[in-house]
Parts: sequence; C-alpha cells; structure tokens
Amino acid sequence: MITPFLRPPGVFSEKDFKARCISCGRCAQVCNYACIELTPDYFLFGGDTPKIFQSRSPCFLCMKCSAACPTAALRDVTAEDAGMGTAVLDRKRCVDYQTESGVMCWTCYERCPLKGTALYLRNGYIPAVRAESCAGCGVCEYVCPIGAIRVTPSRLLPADNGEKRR
Amino acid sequence: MKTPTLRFRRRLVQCGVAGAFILIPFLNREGIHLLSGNFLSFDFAGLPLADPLAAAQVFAGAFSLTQALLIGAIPALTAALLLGPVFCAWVCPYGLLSELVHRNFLHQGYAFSKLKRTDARPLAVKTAVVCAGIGAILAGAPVPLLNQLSMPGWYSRAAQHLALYGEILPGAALMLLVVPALEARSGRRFWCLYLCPQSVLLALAGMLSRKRLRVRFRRRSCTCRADDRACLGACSLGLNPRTDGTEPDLLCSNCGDCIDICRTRGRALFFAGHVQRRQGSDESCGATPLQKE
Repeated sequence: MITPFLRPPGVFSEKDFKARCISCGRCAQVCNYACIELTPDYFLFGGDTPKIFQSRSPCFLCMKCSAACPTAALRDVTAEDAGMGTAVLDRKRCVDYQTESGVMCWTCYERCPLKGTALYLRNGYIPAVRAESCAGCGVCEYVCPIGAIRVTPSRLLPADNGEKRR
Repeated sequence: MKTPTLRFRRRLVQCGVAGAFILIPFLNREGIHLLSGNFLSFDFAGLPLADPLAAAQVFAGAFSLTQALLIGAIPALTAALLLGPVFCAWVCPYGLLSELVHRNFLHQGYAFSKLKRTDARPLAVKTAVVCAGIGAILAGAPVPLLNQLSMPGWYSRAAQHLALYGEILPGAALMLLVVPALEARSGRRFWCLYLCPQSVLLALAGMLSRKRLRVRFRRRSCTCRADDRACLGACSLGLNPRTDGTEPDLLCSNCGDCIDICRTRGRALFFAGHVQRRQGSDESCGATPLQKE
C-alpha cells in the first residue's frame, strides 16, 4: 500500500497551498532532517511541491520550513498548529490495548514531539490520540513497530478548508 | 592595457551566476544558509529576491501577496526599468546555454531574422503566453503553470535536486536538452524571443522608461559598407541594431555584442541612456533614417 504523503507544517488548505507554492525549494533546503521531498504533483511538469513521506522520514516539527517559505504556502505557525494531519490508532492492532499480551510498548507516546498533548496515556497506561491537538507529523507512524498507528493527511479530509488546520 | 570586451565581462557574470546556482544548494546541504532558493525565489543574506512573474501568479491564484514576494520582485523590475531586460543577457543561465549552443554548434552563424529591435510580434506572442497562463490560474488551474516554462527555474531546480537527493530532475533534463537542441536546429533562439514568459514583465518594465539604458546607433560614425552585416550577425537574437531610436526597443536585452563588433568599425553603436536630440543633428541614435540595404 502506498502511504499517503503529508504536506509540511503550516499549510492552510491544499488548494491555497498549490496556488501559492512556486517550487522554490527553500523549505527542503532548510529542513534539518531532510524529510521534505520535492517531487512533481503530476507527471514531469506538475511543479515540484514539498511532500513528507512519513513512513520514510517523518517531520520532527522543527518549523524551519514554514518560517522560510516566501509565499506563505507554508504559514509561519507553531508546532501545535502545524495541521499536517491526524493520527489514528488502531486499537485492534496496538499491543497496549491487548490486555492479555502484557506488553507496554508506548513507543508512539515516547517519541511524539507533542507528547502528553497529542498523544497521552489514557488511565495512565494506554496511549491515545487527542485529535484536536495532533499535528500529524507522522513520527508515531514511523516508529510504531507493528503499524498500528497511521496519519490521515489533512489534505484528504472531506472539508479541507483550513478549519481543521488551525 | 586592452579593455575587456563587453562579451568577456558578460561571460564572467553569466558563468559566475550559473556556477553559484549549482554551488548554493550544496552549501545549503552542508548547513550554510546565507544564500538559498532558486531563480523563482531567492534569499540573499536576508534580502528576498523573487521572479516578478512568480509573484504575479501567486497573486492571481491566492489574491494575496506576501511581503517577501512583493519586496523580492522590486529589484528585478527596477533593474529592468533602468537597464532594460539585462537579466536575459547578463544573468540567465539558460541564456548562456542557448548562446553557447548557437556559437559552438551552429557553424553557419546566426540566422539573420530581419527582426528589428522594435518588432512587436515576438513580445506579443510571449505576452499572449503569459496572459494564457495567468488566465488559466484565474480560471482555477491548480499550480502556477508559467513556472514550468521558466528555463532558469528548471536549471536551478535541477541543481537543488542534485544536491538534496543526488538525482537528476527528469523534467529539467528534458527541458534543458530538448529546447537548446530545437533552438540549434531552427537556427534561432526562439525560446528567448517568442516563448520565455519570465522576460515579458522585464521587457514591459523596460518600456515604461524612456531614459533606460539601450544600444544607440550613430549613423554618421558608421564606417561599414551598406552590405557589411557585422553588427547584424553579432546579435545572437538576430536583431538589427541599426535602428532608429524613436520607437520603443522591445527585444534587445543589452548584451552588447553588436557594440563589441563595432569597436573597430567606427564605434557607431554604443550604450547610452536618454540622448537629447538636437535640431539637424544625427547624434541621437540614428536620427537620420536608416538607408535601405
């Protein structure tokens, strides 16, 4: 299965982003973690817009890309307002939810850049996602050893009009 | 000491810029961010620079413009206002590539296109391309389409890809190989003359100023025979530099090649800003009508 890519932090809506992005590549040049890839949207000439393939290299919310963007395709926002997507945890697969397994994994919780806010421990020991606080950076998806948590990109949400992303 | 020719100075600038836009992405990769970006948007130690057409497309698509784009477009437009579209001849790496291809692989020399510097057709074609692109964005095209026709943009994006991912950008490779090959085959620099959308706003900005720098022709100093086409053959765009200066100069990018060739032939061609006309004098850029050749 091809993992849907994420847009870098600070995108208002996909339409607004595409209208503003001029493929200058400065977001990718300033990225500390080299997680932004510039690939064409359509065939060869679709414009090399920035994408984050979280299964290969997630965003660590350093927020340098959104500060460097000259066109406000990526708005200069805080990590909490990155609005890249929302993590969805599959309780049937996550070992922390399998009481009989006796395993306390917590990898997603420990690695989440917004630990305690976006990912928290329900009842003190079961990881859970607080959707309204999740930046959608993809770190949890990247680190989960069994693929029990996936990020749904904001651009794929039914009403991608900036409401979710604020 | 012999004064360096304009073409030598121009080559230095062109090669310096072309080399810099290859080097900069590699410096960025090593964490040096004093200069960053490409020909569509560039950051010069905190000073934003932007392609005016990219800014226009963002405005057409999003109906708003950031400070960085607004301020960034000013230097290019101001330079065009004062000096004409010198970006094309002195800075653009595709201009360098196109010229080198013509000089080295087109042994029969430039096709003499009989275009006058004042010919409006090529600029009209380019303007139509720009209007179509902007119109498409206004009609809902999802991306700034005209950036895909930016040859300097492709050049610098190719260097970025090479530095960031160690890969050749396929679209850039295609454009930077096919377009010069087609130009060499046609014997004309048709992309620069008829298609390049980036040069349109610069040419239009240049037209706004009557005092901007341009090539002037002083007919009484011309020592060439009527059939000597040295200066005409020197122009890589195939323009006739012996043009009456009363009409707006639409195509010349002030490369200075015709001036170089004229240095040993009476210095009838020279760079100047606004030249005052004197009654009964032909000092002002070919005030006497050009004789039929």
